[in-house]
This record gives sequence, C-alpha cells and structure tokens, in this order.
Amino acid sequence: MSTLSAKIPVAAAIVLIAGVTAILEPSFLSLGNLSNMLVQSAALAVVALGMTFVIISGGIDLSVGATLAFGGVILGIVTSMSGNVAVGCVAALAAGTALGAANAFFVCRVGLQPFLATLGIMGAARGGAFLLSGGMPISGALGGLSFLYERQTIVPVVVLWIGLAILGSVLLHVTVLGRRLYAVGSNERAAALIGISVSFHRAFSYCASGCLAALAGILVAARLDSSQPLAGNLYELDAIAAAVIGGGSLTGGKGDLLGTALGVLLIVELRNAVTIAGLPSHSQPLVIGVVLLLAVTLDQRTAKSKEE
Amino acid sequence: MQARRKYVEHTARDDAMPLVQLTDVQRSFGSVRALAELSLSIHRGDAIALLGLNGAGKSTLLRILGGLDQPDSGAILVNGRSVRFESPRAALDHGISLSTQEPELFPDLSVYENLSLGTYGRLGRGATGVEIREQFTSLLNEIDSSVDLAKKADTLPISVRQIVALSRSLLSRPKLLLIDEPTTSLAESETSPVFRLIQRATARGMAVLVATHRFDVVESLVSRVVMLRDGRVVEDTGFSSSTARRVRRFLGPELPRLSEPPRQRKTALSIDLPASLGFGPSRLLASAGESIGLVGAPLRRLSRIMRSLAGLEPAGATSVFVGESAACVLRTPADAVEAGIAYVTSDRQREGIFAQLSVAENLAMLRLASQRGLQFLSSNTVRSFANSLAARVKLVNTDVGMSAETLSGGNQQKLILARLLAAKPKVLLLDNATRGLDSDGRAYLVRTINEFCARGGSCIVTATEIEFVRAATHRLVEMPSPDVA
Repeated sequence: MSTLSAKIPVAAAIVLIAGVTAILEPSFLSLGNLSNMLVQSAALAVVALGMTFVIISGGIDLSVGATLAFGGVILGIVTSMSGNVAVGCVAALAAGTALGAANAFFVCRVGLQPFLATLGIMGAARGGAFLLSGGMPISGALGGLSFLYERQTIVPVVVLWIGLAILGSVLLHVTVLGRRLYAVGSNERAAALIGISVSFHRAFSYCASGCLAALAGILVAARLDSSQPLAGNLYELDAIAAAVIGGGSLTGGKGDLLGTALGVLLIVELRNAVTIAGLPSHSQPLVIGVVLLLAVTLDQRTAKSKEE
Repeated sequence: MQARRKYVEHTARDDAMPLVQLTDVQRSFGSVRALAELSLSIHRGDAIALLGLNGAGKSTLLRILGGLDQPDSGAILVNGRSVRFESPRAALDHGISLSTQEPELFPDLSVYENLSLGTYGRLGRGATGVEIREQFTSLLNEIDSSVDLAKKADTLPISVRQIVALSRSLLSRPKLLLIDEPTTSLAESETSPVFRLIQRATARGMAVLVATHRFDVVESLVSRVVMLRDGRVVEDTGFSSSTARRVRRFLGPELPRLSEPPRQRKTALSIDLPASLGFGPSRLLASAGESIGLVGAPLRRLSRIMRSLAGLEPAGATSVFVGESAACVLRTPADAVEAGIAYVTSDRQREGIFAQLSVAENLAMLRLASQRGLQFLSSNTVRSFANSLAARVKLVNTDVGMSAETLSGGNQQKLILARLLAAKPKVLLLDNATRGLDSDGRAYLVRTINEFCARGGSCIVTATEIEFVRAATHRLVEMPSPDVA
C-alpha cells in the first residue's frame, strides 16, 4: 500500500503553483476562487476515479470522454420524454455502465487490447451521442439538477466527488475486492493461478469507469442546463494524466484515489492559474504540458532516490 | 617463415595479456557490499565457473561485465584497455555477451525475430533470409529439434526461452560469454547438447564465465572454478578430481532426506492424464504422505503434466480424485485450488509474485481469492496473518510491509510456498521449483516437503537435478517415452 509520503511531491507542486500564481494575482487564493476550482474539478475528478480503477487492474479506458457525452445526451432525451429528471439520471448511469460492460466484453471475452477495445467504444459512444441528439445540444430540460451547483455553505457537487473518492478509497483499500483488483493488475497470471477471476475484476473496473463517466456527463449537463454531444472531449487524456500523476502505473497494480484526486486538482489548478494570471488562453496547453512534465519528473526522481 | 614467426608472436602476446582483467572492483547497494575489491583475470578459451551462495556477488559481477550495472570503483581492462560499460551494447561492442537467468526475449516477437535481433549484425552482410533461417535451424536442432522458429516467444515454456536466449548469445560470436545459471530449466539429461555447443565455442577461443549452483555444470563444462563469498574471491583454482570434493563442499551441504512414508498405504491421489499430454492415457497414483518424482521425459513435457494439474491446460483437462472426494475435472486454476491442489511454479516472476504489492498482501492473496468481495479487511488483519506465515516459513530479514520485488529469489520462493500452504492443500506440486535456488533454498524445499508429507499430504516433484528429485521424493515414476515424434 502506498504511503502518504509518496504524495508529498504532488501536494508540494500544488502549493508551489498556488504560491507563484498568488504573487502574480492575489485573488487566486480568494475563498471564491478556491471553491470555484473544487467545483470545476468535479466532472474530471469523477471520470478520473473510474479511470484509476481501470488502471489499477492493468487496463486503460479511452472511451470515458465519449461515454460522458453519451450519458449526458441520454439524460437530456429521457428527461424530456419522461418529464422526470431522476428517471433521466438512472437511464444515463445505466447507459454508461452498459458501455463499460461493452468494453469489458471486448477486452475479457474477445481478448482485444484494452487500448483498441476502448478506442472502438469511444467511437461508438461519441457517434451514438451525435446520432441521438441530431448533433444539436438538448437544452432546457434539466432545471431539476440545478441544485447541484447552488452555493450553500458547500456546493453539492464538491461533496459528491469528494464523497465518491472516499467511498472508492474504502473499496480499494479495505475490501477484499479492492485488494484483488491490485493483484490482477500486478500479475494477471499469478492472480489466475491462485483462483482469482481475472475477467470478473477487469469487467468490474470497466463497468465502474463507464458508470462514473456517465455520472460526470450528468454533472456537465446539469451545469450547462444542456446536453452537448461534444462534451467531455479529451477528458480521457486528462483522466489518465491525473491517475498517473497521482502514482498510478500504466502497467497496472499501482495507483490510488487520493493520488488521482491530487492529480485532478493539479490539472485544474494549472488551467485556472493560467487564466487568472492573464496569460493568453492559447498558451494554456503549453504551460500545462511543461508543468506536468516537471511535476512527474520530480516525482519519479524522488521515488527513485528513496529506493536506493 | 616470416609469416609464421609473426603468428607465434601474436599468440604469445595474446596469452600473456588476459582478455578481461578486473582489479579491485567494488560495488555497493546502500549499505550492502555486493563486490568488495574483487580481482579476476579471464583468458581466451577459459571456461570458468563462478560459485557462491545467493548474495555472494555472482550476479553483480556478471551484470557489471555485461554492461547492466557499473562498478563504484576499480578497473576493468579488456585486451589491456580500460573500459567502462554503460550499457549491454557497449559490452557487446567489446565482444562480451550476457545471458541472464530470466531469459530476456521480446515476448511478442517470434523465435526467428528474437534470434535475428539479438545477433546484432554478425550474421554476415548479404546473407539471405533462407540462409539465416538455415543457420538458426541448425543451431537450434543441435539443442532441441522441437523448437519452432515461427512461434512467439511469449508462448514458449521457460526452458525453451532459455535455450533461445542462449543461442542468441552464441550467435553473436562473443569473445566472452557470461551465463547466469545456463540450465536452470533443463533436466540433467537435457543439458549435454547445450554444454557441447558451449564447449565447441570455447575450443575456438571463446571464454565463458558461468554462475551456477550445480555440480553437474561445473563437472561437465569448466576447467577452472572461482569461489565467491561476500563479494570476494575466496578461491580461484583449476577444476580436477583433486579439487572436486572441495568444490562440492563449497556448493553446500548434502540435501536432507525425507522421513519414511507411512506404512499403511492409502491412495490419496489418483490422476487420469488425458492422451493430449503426449504420454498416452495413463494414471498416476500417490498415497497419503507420499512424495513422488516424475522422471524420464524432457522437463518441459513433465511440466505440462504439472500444469494440467494446476488447471493451466484447458484443452486437455485432467481429472483427479483427491482423497475421498468425487472426481474433479481441472479446467481452470480455480478448479485446482478448489480441489486442494497447490502449484509451485518455476516462473516466479511471471506466475508467482505480485511485484508491486507488499509481502503481506502477497502472502494473504490466496486467502482473499476465496473470500466474498465486499467483505471488509483491515490492513492489520492482513499484516498479522502475513507475519504469522512469514514466521512459519522463516522469511528472514523481511518486513512484510516491503514490496515483494525487493526479495531475493530464495525468499520469493518461500513466500509463494507460505501463501499456498496456508490454504492447507492436500496436494503439493513442485514444478522445477528449485530454479535459481542455492543449496540452502533447496534444502529448505526438501524440509518443507517432509513436513507436508508428515501431515498426510501428497507431493509431486519435477526438477532439473535428479539428485534433488531423489532427495525430495519417496518414489520415482518413470514416464513412458513420448509416443509422438
């Protein structure tokens, strides 16, 4: 089990960037902006939690961004038809889980590489979102979800994503299922030899990832009061980055949700900092890329020096 | 006359100057000294065995010469010139090739591709594909004619991967071949073709440095032995009948013996082997408290029997009667676990260890496999369970919180045994489980088998060394010779 000390470099990077940005623009550290960043993190965080499950069990899920859009579109359509937003949410979550199950089918049963299988489902889900929505945003049906972003003492979506991260951590670290997910990702053959069902655990992680991606779709749609077929574009890459920054390994068997949450905060913070510091918006990808490389390099270095 | 004198001078100089000369080479890992002021010279045509317990520094020395590791201090001269190898490529450029114990092949490439990539442009420019293929085939045929050039490396059993890796090293025509345990997956009867190839190369002037625990390797391959202890050369001597006893003693004490099996023979294990395993339809029987050893066929074929008992040969599933229970057909590893069969693999890296997980979780994982998924478990429970297991198998110098990849091969084997035995299996399968173990590790295995049988378990053993199979079993079962060509 990874120790808290392994998270220090990422946490330090978050604090450092906050410090530097605050010097340039003191309002960065205002309560309003900090809470804003936690709200902005919600959708990516929910996607990245699911991604972490998949990465721990030794796979990868490129379909999450498209699943997010598909879930959002299902939410919009079912809510408009039924007039009940709760029914829409259940339908969206079911659709996301089904897409996850499709990933699992192609990975575990057909035996495709996870990269390819989920790339295929990514195309199917994105195409499905366009077909079902006719390529247009579906707006005006989601007033029932506006409470998610209302500012009370704490914004509900923030409670939601942090709560899910805690729940997921409990599942990963103190249940038998969670520990077996790590075992499957660490050494598939060894796991199979002692009687652990590799397919079941893989399938579980893909279904969880699909369901959570659809939940993120609900959050994004609720925020805009509109289901966009283009929503969640490239979220898969941010989610993978967050999981890896947080200590996940693409070869499996490593990663945890605290790390992933920190990874998400780092990415969101960087975006926010670039905007608030008044850098031109087209320099955003460059700055984010460079800082990510630095953060991960630093992290690897400290991990290595600890091993020696 | 002129030309001849030149030739003589040339060889005289060659003899005087060692091919490789190490002087005061040191290497430490943290506070552990792997090599302490080690000096050694290797001449053309030398066949040297490097002996010592696990941790004596054999592998470190080979890794440094092979370019996988660099010394902290000291000098290495090749043909009189000082060198420092930053990579295996640099070592290859000086004619030094390393064949490691874990055969390092490209898993997704074919045998042919692995051989051509590894031979590093030495096959002669302009050789056609057909010629190269013939060259590979004739080399492999000398060792094992059943190796298929078209097969993907990942699909091959470890013994064949080892043969391919060694052939690849030989094909690059090195001046010095370094081998870490050349035949850990081959039975003694299968090793002679490998040795013949190496001997032929040394006759042409290649030097070979072999790290090994096996007396048969020393006896049939080398003319000189270098004994290491704590990173130093304690003895460097020619191998002859007069030094043989000393070498044997250095390799470790004799293996312990098993206690007698119980008088009352009650068949506890009955195995019906499907014909697809290549031994014809046949039946293996073992009584409670008995350990049997399979011999008489290449290890790889014996290993298939063991793997089918572990549920790893779904095509030709084996059925067994364990104890009084009804027949079980072993289609998956879960079936085997359910039937009380514990399989100890020789391929610890790929099939045994969860490298990223802690020792504690490695130990507890078999237990977790059979529990309900949503059951809670605290890390304290796992730790105390693991600690009790670790104490029982005497995993020394180990904190169960460490990651399992930091363990030595011997301790990894103990970990796997402890994990399996905790589930109280009725049948224990040791499939060449001695691979890479020193005399302590092998003696430990024999004692484990003894305890297991004393409690009424049945045991099946295959191993490279017949000496070990004899020590670890009550009875040898000669497998019928293969009925397939």
